[in-house]
Amino acid sequence: MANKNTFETEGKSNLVINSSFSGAHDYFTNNVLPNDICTHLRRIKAPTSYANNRDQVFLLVRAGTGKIVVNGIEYKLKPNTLINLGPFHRYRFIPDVGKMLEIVDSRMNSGTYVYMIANPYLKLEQFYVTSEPPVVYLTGLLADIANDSMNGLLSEMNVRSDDSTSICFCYLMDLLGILTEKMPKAYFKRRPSSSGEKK
Amino acid sequence: MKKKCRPLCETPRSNIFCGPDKYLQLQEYTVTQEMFPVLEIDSYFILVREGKGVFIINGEEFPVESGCVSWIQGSQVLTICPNFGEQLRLWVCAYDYQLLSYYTFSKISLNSEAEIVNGLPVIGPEGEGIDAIIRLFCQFRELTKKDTRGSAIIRSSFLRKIELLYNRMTHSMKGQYKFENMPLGRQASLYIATHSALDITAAQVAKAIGPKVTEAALNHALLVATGLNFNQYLNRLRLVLATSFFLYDSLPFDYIASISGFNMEITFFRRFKALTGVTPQTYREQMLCSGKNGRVYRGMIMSETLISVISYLYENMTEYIDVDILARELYTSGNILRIQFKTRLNTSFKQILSQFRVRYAEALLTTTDLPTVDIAIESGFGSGRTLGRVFYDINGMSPGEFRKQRCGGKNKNGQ
Repeated sequence: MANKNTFETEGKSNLVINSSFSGAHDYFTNNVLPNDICTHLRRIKAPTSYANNRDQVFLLVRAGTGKIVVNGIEYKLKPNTLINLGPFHRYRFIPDVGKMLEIVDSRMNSGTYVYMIANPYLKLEQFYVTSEPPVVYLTGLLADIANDSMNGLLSEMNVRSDDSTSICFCYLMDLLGILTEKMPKAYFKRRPSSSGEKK
Repeated sequence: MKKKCRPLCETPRSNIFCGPDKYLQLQEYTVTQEMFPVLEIDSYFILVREGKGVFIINGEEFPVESGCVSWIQGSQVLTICPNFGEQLRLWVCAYDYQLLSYYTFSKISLNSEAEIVNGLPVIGPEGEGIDAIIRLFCQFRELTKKDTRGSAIIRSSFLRKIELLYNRMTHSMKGQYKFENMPLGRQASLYIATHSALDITAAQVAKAIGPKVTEAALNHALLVATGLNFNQYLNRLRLVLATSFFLYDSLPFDYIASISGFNMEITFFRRFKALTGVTPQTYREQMLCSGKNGRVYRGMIMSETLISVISYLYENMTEYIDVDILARELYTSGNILRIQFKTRLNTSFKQILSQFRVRYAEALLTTTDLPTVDIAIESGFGSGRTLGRVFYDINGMSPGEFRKQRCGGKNKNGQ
């Protein structure tokens, strides 16, 4: 057969083209988006020591009760508690006596996180980093979505297919969406300090 | 054996399932008789909830029933035909190419592109993954009722997840759907869809599809399947491709025109207006929404310069950073960077860096016994005095007061 159509290219055409299915800029491809979205299931029976956090982390409590101390503030933990910690948070877990905390943590680098907040549906009136991390207690549909996302992230850790990074990014986006949904609007805005800020 | 092509009953219509007012909405339809053909600028997913019928996609027939899912591209003309005496209950979600473009991180090889375009346009009702897609549709529907900022973000990622699960399924069914068995019109449309950004002619496409295919036969087959001849169809697909880049903050229209296959910017503008009735600028404005008038908020995708600067600050907040050097490395200027920060993020480079450093200093103040001077150096301030001044500006108290307050045991019980 003289003419082969391009759908039978047998690997010879790895020509990179612009198409409706290839978005983003080269920068994102080359620098930002990693293959290192890592998700782990942790079972904590005893109080932990302070962890230095270098990444962006989403934590979801799956079972057990206790508390997490983030930068000196204690937050109660119960099933379906979702937390986002940044690189400036140091934290430790303290399970309740006789209880075991089962926590899924999913980490990504800052580049991935910043790309997440570049989502066209995320309204950024002002870029502001709050002192306290967003902590939400979920029920109903949002709890289902958060658990589905963490389960998906855990299962992708074992599979690692070609599109794993893409689907993991979506799961993380779900978690960011849940936090945006549940946290009060004022949380994302800069609050004027009592000193009366310089203008 | 090659399938026969079913011709169009009338000229395809647009803006039925897609359009700015339908972004992130779940649309519900009940179709009781054969619908007119639909050709959209964006793609969309269809879930068949009830009934049996046929989807005619670029002249090729695909039987559907409850539980079937279809991903219709901007290159495909769809005619929905319920079986005699049946009614089809459908859920439709528009999946615009701008969103797809945001969620796709990398440029794609021709092989991968061909695999996606060449995949089955209808899957289900059985198969691994269908249940997960249906679950996503159901949750999407619940979230549509909320119509809030957070739910919009989740819905946007749901669409991408449906796409990825869909592609996984079509990949596993690759052997069941062969290019050589498709009608010529569909073959031609698929070939053009994957090569629209290249400089191609009808003769080249005909030659690539098969040795016996003539240019006239190709044109005729395309006209029967899509209602457009080769040139009209090619230009339409180039415009669809161009629109996928519209939400990037930093891409000018002349660049978009060139990467979409238009040799001249003026041709792009003319053809765009002929297709949509408005200029690219107006079209972009229509895509955006401030979140008022009952529509979902939708802005531009942040520029890669801003993303890279903020990422850099996150990673290197404790180091010495010179904005002008950083700007030079990103092939821009300090002034442009400052303007971008102000207009897009309503803040400045310096404020963001200060916030990061203060937050890090807070962590050290509350979890270590280090003296303030050491914390100042550790967090990138250089001196205790600078830390004190910036800390007071942001928190309204001194580092010492903050340490005292936090270490006094402030509790949050989550309400």
